[in-house]
Amino acid sequence: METKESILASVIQEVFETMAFEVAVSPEDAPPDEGSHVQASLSFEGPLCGRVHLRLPRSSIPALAAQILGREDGNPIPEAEALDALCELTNVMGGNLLAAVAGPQAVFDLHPPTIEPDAPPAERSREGLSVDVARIPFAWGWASVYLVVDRSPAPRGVSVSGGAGLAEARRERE
Amino acid sequence: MALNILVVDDSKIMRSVIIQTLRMTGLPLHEVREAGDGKEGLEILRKEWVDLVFLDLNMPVMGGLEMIGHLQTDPDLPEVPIIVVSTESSQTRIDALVTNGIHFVHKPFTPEDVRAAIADLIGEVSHGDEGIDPGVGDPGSF
Repeated sequence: METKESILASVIQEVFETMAFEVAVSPEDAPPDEGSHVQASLSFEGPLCGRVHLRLPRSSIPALAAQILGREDGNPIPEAEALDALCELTNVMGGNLLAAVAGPQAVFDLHPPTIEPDAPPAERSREGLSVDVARIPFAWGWASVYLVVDRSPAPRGVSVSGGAGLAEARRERE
Repeated sequence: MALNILVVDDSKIMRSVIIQTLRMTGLPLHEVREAGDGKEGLEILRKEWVDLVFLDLNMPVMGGLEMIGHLQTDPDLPEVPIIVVSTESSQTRIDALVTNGIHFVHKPFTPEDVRAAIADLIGEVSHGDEGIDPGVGDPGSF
């Protein structure tokens, strides 16, 4: 039976390969997971409520963004645009993760991802909170994805816009 | 014949991804226009000839479903094939779209996914085609 970790790992690899043309390497071929990191997070509501975090080495962001955007001219990509690319990657990953974990009939609402520039490792499992983690090695470092599920029911009256548009996230940040 | 395409998505990143993927399909592209929401998309459709629309669902100002609604009911708007591109994973919601004649491509998508969706919707397109007869292919239940 597939574990949640293997499901997460499978989704991460598919999304990175399809969106960023990045293929996982052997763990011994990936650089150590140290240095500064960036984390993109989104929250979700539905049959499960919680958050998805994607944590990457800061140094990997420019090249990843260039690949996602198809920029081959070598010109640096503005940081805001690179972080938007990371948010979009997280958005796609979140949608796919939840479908893989909860099944195709489940209906979720995902909030726009936000960036935490100096994020420590995400939450740990504790009473009322379930955290599943998958870490995938790439040539530029390790991608860590955390699926955090609140075991307590969502509060009543929560109104969800149902959108995950980055324009909305940018307005919220301003 | 080269395709005129409209990409409607509030994410500039995703519009770039869709356009990059379209280029990778090898299909002949003439003009690729962009819109940040459904309202902008409709404004473009009123003024420009478009062979195919790639459309996100969750957008501010006017979302994808509302834009589709306008296309279905406004006689001054053209009948145009639409492919919804979304992270939507709920089979219930996807089935509702497909039932209404909307083609769907799930993110993340490959050039092969996009090429197959286009072929499914408007038929095979290759360099040197005479042109797309608006009566050919199923533009959906508009």
